[in-house]
Amino acid sequence: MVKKNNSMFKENIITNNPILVQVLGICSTLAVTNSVKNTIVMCIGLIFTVSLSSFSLSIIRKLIPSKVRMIIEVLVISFWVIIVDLALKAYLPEISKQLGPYVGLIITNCIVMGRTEAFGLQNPPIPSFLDGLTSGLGYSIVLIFIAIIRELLGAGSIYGFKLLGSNWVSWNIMIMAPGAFFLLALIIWIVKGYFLPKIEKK
Amino acid sequence: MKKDKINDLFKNLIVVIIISIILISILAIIYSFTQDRIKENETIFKKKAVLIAAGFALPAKYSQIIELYNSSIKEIGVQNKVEIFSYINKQIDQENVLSKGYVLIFSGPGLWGEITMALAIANDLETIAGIEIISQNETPGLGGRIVESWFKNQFKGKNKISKIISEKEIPAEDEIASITGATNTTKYVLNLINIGKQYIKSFNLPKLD
Repeated sequence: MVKKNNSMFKENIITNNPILVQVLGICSTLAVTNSVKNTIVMCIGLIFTVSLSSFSLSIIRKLIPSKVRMIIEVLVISFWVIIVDLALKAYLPEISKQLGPYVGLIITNCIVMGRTEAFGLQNPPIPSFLDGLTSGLGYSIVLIFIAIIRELLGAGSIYGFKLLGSNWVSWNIMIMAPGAFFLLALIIWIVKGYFLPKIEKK
Repeated sequence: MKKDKINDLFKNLIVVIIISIILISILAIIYSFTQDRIKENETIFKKKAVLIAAGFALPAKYSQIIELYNSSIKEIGVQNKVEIFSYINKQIDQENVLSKGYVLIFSGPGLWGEITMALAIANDLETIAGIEIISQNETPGLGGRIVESWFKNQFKGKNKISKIISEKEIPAEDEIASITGATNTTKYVLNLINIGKQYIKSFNLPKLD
C-alpha cells in the first residue's frame, strides 16, 4: 500500500504530470498564471475539488450505472466547486473578489473529470483521494512555476512584491495569454526532451 | 429485451434524480448557513468603498469601520440605478473643499466588461475627492491594475483631466498617468468619471453646509 502510494506520488507529480505529460487543464494554466497570488488560490481550490470529487465518487462508484456516470461526475464536481465558491465568498471575500469567475471555472478543468473518470471510479476511496491530491499537486507545481516567471518578467514582482528596480521594462507579452503559451511550450519541451527520459531510465 | 432496455433507462433516471436531490439539498443547507455572512461581507465591502472614495483613512477593526461609516456617511437614495451618499470627513481640515461632498456608486463600460465604481465629488460639485473600484473584469496584470492605490490616488483633488500620459512620467494638474501604454482601460476609467460628473449635474444635488 505504502509502496503503491509512493509510485502514485512520483507518477502524478513527475512522470505523468497532468499538465506537462497529459496536457490537461491548459485553459486555467493560461488564464490565472499572470499573478502568483491568484495562482496559489486557484491551485488550492483545484487540489480540494479534485481530491474530494474523486473520494466521494469512489464511495458511490458501485451504485452508478455506467451509462450515466459522466452526468453524475459533473454533478458531484460542480457540487464541490460550489462549496469552494461559497466558502471563499463567506470567509475570504477579498480573495473571492480577486479570483472572480475563475473559481466557477474549476468545473471545466479537465484534470478533475479526467482523474475521477480514470481513477476514482475504479478504485477505493482512500487511494482515489490520494490520487486526486497528488494530481492536484502536480498541476500546482507547474502552475506556480509558470506564474513566478510570468509575474517576474511581466510586472517585475513576485506575489505582489516588487523585486526588479524601476529601470525594469515589463514584458507585457508575459502578462497576456500568448506569453503563457510560449512559456508552457518551452517548459514542456525542456522537461519532456531532457528530464523525463533521464528519470525514466532510472 | 425491449422491456430490459426500458427498465435500464428507468433505473438510470432514478439514480441521477436521487443523487441530484441529495446534492442539491446539501448545497441548500450550506447556502442558507453562509448567505448571511456573504451578504454582510458585501455590505461591508460597499461601505468600505464609499469611505475609501471619500478619502477616509480606514481603521483596522470592522466595528470601527461601521462606526465611522454611520457617523460620517448619509445614504441619500437611489436614482437611475445610481446610489447616492453624502459625506463629511472630519479627518481633514474643514476649510478644505474635499472635506464634504457626495459619493456615487454606479456602473459603466470598461474595456472587457462592466466597471462598478464609487466616485466622490467634493462640495464644489466639480473636484474629484477620490475613486474606488468596486468590481471590474479587466485583463489581470494590465487593465486590472486600476485597483492599485497609486492609480486611484492620482485622481484625488483633480478638477479637469484633459490628458493621459505614460506611466513613467509625473502627471501635472490636468493629467493622469496611464496603467501602461498597452491598455485602453485608463480611458474607460476616465470616461466613467465623466459619466459620474454628469450624474451629479443631472441630479441637481444641493451644496452641503
